[in-house]
Amino acid sequence: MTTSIVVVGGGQAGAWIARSARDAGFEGTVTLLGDEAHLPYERPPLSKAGLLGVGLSYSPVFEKEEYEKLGIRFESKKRVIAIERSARRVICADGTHYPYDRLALATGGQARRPIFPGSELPGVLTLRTVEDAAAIAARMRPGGHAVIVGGGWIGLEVAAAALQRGMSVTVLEGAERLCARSLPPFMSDFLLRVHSSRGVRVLTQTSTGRIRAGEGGKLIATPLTGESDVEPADFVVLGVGLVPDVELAVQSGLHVDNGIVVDETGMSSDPSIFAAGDVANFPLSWQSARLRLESWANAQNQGIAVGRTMAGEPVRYDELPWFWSDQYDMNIQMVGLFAPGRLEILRGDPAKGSFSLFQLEEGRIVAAASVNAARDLKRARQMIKSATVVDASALANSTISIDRVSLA
Amino acid sequence: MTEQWRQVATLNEIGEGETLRVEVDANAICLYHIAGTIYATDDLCTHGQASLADGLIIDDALIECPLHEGAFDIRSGAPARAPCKNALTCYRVRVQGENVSVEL
Repeated sequence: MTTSIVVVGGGQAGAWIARSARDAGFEGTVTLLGDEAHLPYERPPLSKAGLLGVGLSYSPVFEKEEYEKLGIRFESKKRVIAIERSARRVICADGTHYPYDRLALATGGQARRPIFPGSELPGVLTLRTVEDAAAIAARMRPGGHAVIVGGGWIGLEVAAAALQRGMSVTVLEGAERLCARSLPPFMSDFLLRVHSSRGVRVLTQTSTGRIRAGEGGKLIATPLTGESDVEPADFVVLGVGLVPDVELAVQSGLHVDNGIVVDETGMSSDPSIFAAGDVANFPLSWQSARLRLESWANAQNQGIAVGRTMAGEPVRYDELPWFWSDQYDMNIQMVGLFAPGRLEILRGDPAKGSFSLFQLEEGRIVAAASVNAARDLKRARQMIKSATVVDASALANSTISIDRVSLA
Repeated sequence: MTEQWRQVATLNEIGEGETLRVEVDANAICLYHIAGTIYATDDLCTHGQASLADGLIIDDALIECPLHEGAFDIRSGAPARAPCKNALTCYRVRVQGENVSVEL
């Protein structure tokens, strides 16, 4: 019988695991161990409202009273350093330990921090925590210059915020296009046009391998490829991805391969240990390759599924990947997974700032991205789920309601 | 409390299965047309800063927020799916002929 659930990791996934175990009727003890000084909080605002200074950066997933009401023991600043699987307990850095019947690892990850000359200088920053966001916001000043290493989602959101705060911005992207890991070339080109037209200088197929301290606390980044030094910067943000926190899992002998390997219920290679969120590597029914997703929706929804499963109500997690980003006046959303070589249909007019791009396979939508067209994206998600065959020419015609593009 | 009925729309503005955002004084209200009945709630999602009128009606009587995919029961305002936690304010609706009024 399960009498004690311990959740390691006080982020979005961890909070939802703890809560959902209770929602599913679990009556034993639920302990949530977070290594940060805060209640679990939402990370999306950190690179959006948090940097713009227009809204609260810190937004707890649940208020303190809610944990109390649900009988969840939340402990902050608890860094777990070991799992003793035979004794079924976790050991914390401060010497305390917690016994479990079922354990969840929702340890997320750390911002990747490449090491190169100058990478440890003050002002060379990454963005993962509320403190990180505050440090970046504190260095933003009108007329200043920001260098962003990495033209992925975090990099572009920081670039947009810096520009909106009156800074000039240079983005260095290693790949040949922006957000290359998650978006097709059409969308990358669109983002490049938007950022460039606003004045962001985007250099692709380059990065920086050296930063030195200039006058007045400025940072001078040297691109890896031939270009001369980038304009002295007030700060450099390294937005080059996340390293999943798998150390505990590796140490304790769990199966780890680009994240903690779990089944569709979130169960790891040890049936009493589960994982969810950024750190979990999981299967989806409709695609052959396993994946690990770093997104808010995945952290929440996989957390919910895993929490219920741990409470004794197995839930198969099989959600379509879904993601959003806010940049300038654009709300960008995507659903499904893009892949090269598929038929692409454009709906709406990118020049007018509202459109969607669909990828089709055998007449069915399999992935979609939208800019300021959330409603079309939601309909697309429904059609992906129901494997609806669509009329591609109707889909491409934005004067035809998206409700009428089905061929069924 | 003094109740006050205000005409906010006409029936032909809200297709079946559709939503309509209307502004009443400083408030924005979302109207819904479900199976012949008109419902009204606040238009602003209680979770994020999103207009629910831009969302989709799903599972017959839920409104899905266009930003974070949370959902509310249109009939009661109750949160129906994460991350929505706080209920929406609902308004009574009266349809007379073509005129749609809500009680403020």
